Amino acid sequence: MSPPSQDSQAPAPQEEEEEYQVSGPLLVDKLQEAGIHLQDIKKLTDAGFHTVEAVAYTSKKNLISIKGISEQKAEKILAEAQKIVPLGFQSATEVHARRSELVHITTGSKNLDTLLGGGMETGSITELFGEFRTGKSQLCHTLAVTCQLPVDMGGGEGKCLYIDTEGTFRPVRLLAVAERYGLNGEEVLDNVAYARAYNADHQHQLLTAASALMSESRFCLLIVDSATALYRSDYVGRGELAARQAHLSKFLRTLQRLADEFGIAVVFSNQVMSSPDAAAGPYASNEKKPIGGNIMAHASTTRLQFKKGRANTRICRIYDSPCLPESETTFAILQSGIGDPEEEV
Amino acid sequence: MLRRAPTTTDGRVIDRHQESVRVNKPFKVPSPVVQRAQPQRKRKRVSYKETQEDDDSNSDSGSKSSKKRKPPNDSGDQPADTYQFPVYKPKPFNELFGPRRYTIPVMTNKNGELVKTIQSNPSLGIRPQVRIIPRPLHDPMEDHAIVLYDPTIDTRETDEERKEREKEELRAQAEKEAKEKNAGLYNPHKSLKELLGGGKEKTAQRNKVPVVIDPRLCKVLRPHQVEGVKFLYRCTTGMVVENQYGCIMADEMGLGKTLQCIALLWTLIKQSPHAGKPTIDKCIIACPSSLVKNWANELTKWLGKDTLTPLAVDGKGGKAELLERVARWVAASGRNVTQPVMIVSYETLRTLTAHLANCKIGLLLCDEGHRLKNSESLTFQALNSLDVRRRVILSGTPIQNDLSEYFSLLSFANPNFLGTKNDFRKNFENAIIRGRDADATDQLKATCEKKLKELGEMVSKFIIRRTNDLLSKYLPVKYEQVVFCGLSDFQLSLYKLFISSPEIQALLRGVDSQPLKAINILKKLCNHPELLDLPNDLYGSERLIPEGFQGSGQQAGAKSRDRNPSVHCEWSGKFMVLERFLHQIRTETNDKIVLISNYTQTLDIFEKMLRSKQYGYFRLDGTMTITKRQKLVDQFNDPEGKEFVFLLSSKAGGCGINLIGANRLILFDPDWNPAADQQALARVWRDGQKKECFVYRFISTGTIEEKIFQRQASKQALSSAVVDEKEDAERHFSVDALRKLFLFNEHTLCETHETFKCKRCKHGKQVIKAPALLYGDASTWNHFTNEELRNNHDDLLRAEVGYPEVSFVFQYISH
Repeated sequence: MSPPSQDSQAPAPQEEEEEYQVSGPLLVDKLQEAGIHLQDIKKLTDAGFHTVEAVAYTSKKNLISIKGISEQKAEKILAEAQKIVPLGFQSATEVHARRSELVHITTGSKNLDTLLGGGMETGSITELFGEFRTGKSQLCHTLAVTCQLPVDMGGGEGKCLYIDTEGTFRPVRLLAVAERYGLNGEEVLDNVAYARAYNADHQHQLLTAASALMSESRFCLLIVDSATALYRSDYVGRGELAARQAHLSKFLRTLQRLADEFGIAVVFSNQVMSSPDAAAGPYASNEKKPIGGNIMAHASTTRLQFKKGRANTRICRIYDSPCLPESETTFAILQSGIGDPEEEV
Repeated sequence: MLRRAPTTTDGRVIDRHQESVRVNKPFKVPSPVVQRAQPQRKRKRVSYKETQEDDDSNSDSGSKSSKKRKPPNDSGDQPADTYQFPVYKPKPFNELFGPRRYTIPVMTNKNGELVKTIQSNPSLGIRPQVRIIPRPLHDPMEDHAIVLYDPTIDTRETDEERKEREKEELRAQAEKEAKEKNAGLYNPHKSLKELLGGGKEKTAQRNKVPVVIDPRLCKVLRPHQVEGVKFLYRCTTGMVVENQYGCIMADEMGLGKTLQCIALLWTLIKQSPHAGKPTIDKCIIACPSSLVKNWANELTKWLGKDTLTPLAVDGKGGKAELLERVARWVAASGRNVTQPVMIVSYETLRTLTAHLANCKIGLLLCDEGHRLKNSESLTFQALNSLDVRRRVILSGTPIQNDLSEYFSLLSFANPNFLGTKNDFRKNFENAIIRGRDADATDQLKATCEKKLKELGEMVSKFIIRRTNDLLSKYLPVKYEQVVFCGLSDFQLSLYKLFISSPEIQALLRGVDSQPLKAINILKKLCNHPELLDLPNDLYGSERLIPEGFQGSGQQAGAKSRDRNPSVHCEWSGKFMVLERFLHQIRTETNDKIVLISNYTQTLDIFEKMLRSKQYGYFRLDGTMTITKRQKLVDQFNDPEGKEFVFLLSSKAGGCGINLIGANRLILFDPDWNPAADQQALARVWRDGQKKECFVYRFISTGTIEEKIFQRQASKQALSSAVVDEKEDAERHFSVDALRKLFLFNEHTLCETHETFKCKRCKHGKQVIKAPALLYGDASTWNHFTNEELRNNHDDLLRAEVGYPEVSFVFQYISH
């Protein structure tokens, strides 16, 4: 076998650039080579389709609804996109091989990482829910920094998108976490794109912008803290329930699409409600339920329940997961983000 | 058009101009109701100097309260966390999130040094992995880089690769055959892979990359340790002998076995010749339970905090929780592994074997691996049943008693390499033992020599052993002295009485009574007569017992101890020497000392003596919990600590404890097992020691202790002949001599010296200085009689000149 020649060190950056292009998602410009008009491509990007995957994964109905794209055009675009993006079957061996290489983003707490099998899974949606002060936002802040770490340290080597609906984003917390890992604070903050969402529609629109950003640079994490706060107030009462759920469903669907398209980890927090149908009385447990109903429950891949523990410790329980066993662990909220509770000697 | 002028509610016409002034009047902070000019506070100047001097307790409380007052002031300067961090100048958003490559933020470690991060740009989620040019994790061309594996040099096909290739070839052949067989027939069965058209591009050979030790470890590894890590790596990757993945790391204590193993572990977990893939997923470190925490600490010490989080099974939490954690550990694989290392005691590991049965483990490290010397033991069987190929045994003392132990260690590391136990005995052990006897014929010696050589050749590939001599470069000089102390009159009379007693006579005639009990009595007697339960232990000793004697039997009542707190040092030769030593250390130096004994009762007497002299001390024995032990050790090692004596029971904490705060050590009595003594002796002279070290082994002249010491020497000679392959380890004792255990040689200065038939001494005086000191062989050491101690480097021993107790000294100087 030939050794990796040391000469390759010099032109490495250039090669890297190439590799980098390949590893990222395919831009929708690529369709131009397949004979799609530049104008149509412009229309696609305006509508939020920035990658070929995005186009290939969407339904024809959605494409037609874009202004200026007829049914024939949509068919052609879809056909071309599906030629580029593999959409068929693949063997489980291959899936298994890929999943074994799956990048996880560390939560900062080894206990929690162990519970989650390495951390937040990339390419899937993780929901965090629990009462206030149970550490949801703190975890989000920690993740926004740890996702920038090199992969062998438990990061994802990518930027972070942070959508904030409750106004709880505090860059100081990011700096504190960055300090713990010895990362340059300025660069860490430069790698986090922050948006404040003001209403449910806005929240959804932000995802379109997010997809544009992701197609341009390497992101590995999208945080929505919290996903349901605005829905709770924008849609009030039974009468609007259907509309709210439909809108929420659309929002979650877009999140899922982003996760598939870019392989990013999507983490959102969710609020809770007291379950109204729980029996009253001294023995009824005061279990809080996540809001969002079945739509939310089905959309998130992994659901984590947070509870308050003693002092700065918090309890995390796996509420729903395709492969993790139902169990719980404790972690701590420290000055430097999420960590392990101090061992008492 | 008529316009009405606006009016206020009470009907007044508003002047527009004025009104706007009223509305738009700038906001003013409301002024306080009462304005008070505060005069500056005058303070009388009061001197507290005198009061402080007058009253100690007052000044104490005063300083305390001032301390308490301070912190709020401090925090007042920086009221919020926000100010802790600088505020950066924002850059334009498009510049940051435009088409710009992601780069990992600059990382620095605690010392402000840059940490090099390598971007691997893996695909996220389950998007197909891109092919990246294979690149080593650490740059092999960097200065001081230590390359463990270089693909340009080592092009050997590894075992796994061969298996993979053979599998591939078999499959190809089967396919071809099937095709030929079914030629022309209708055959709709295609493999799924073929249908999906995948898996074809994988056949392309991937280039291998160098494996380089992590730079942060490179910096701390000493040359001999680098060699050790290289050896370990070669062994554990099967580069030495095909299909043999085990080895024994038998460096003497203090050479950094732990660090070498951590370097190996870290390299295997992070790297392999295949870029981006680790060699192993999971590793188990088995060690004595007292060292579990220690290993975890060592991992953080060398690799930094949070780099490698081990699963330390230290008995905290319940059994159920432990099993859950283990189950999780077993289930994790690939990137899911968050705790790649499990640190567990041998005992617990034994109970866990059922849970680990189906788990592929990459590496098993057995610290203090002489636990595995008995291949029949449950521990050996249990560990052997684990699914792990790479096995590394760490032991400072691989041979403790005989060759079969050595064999079982080797067969654990490399099963089926030396054949079965019986084969080994037939082929090697018998011949070697026979040849090493002092009475052996030349022919037997020759076969022994041959067999030893043969065994050595086979085995040396898997053993690495360096002696402490190497350390001399880094450590201060160590003086190791065997101090022969005469018995006191009281001891002497008891000793003579005992060996002339009918029991012993019967024993010597071969009419068996209880030899072990007799030996024990003699050993205790040599330490201090009060260890014995006189007169019950020794019939006829009543008339010898002096006033105020308290045997161990009477000590049971705590009252008697209070009544008589002083210890009669004059009843024991060793204690008199010890008393003088301690006094001198206390008054003339600021050294600290470790006292080790096999008997906790001896420690009791030490304690009594120290208390009566009001010397500060610590005591560590088997009754203490592990966390408590660590605290004690830390306190003692603190140079500010007042306690200068550390009492240690050799059975309880011989292994792994680090007492570098002390630079003197007394081993009060010899143990049958030389390795146990070696372990105990190495507590002080190890990494971190800054002062010259003095190690004393007290032995009562002419008594059973000296016989034990001689026996130790013979065992050690065996060990060094096999492990160290030192050709010139001389043979000293014949089997017959060892039977003379119970003979008492009253008029000797040092019986051991006499058995040496020393060529360097004339008329009991050393005329030729020892040419080369061999650590394992006391006959090559310097000899001193009491008179000659005048010229000794050691103050304590020099002060012994003229006193009758010390009769003879062997001295070993490390360098």
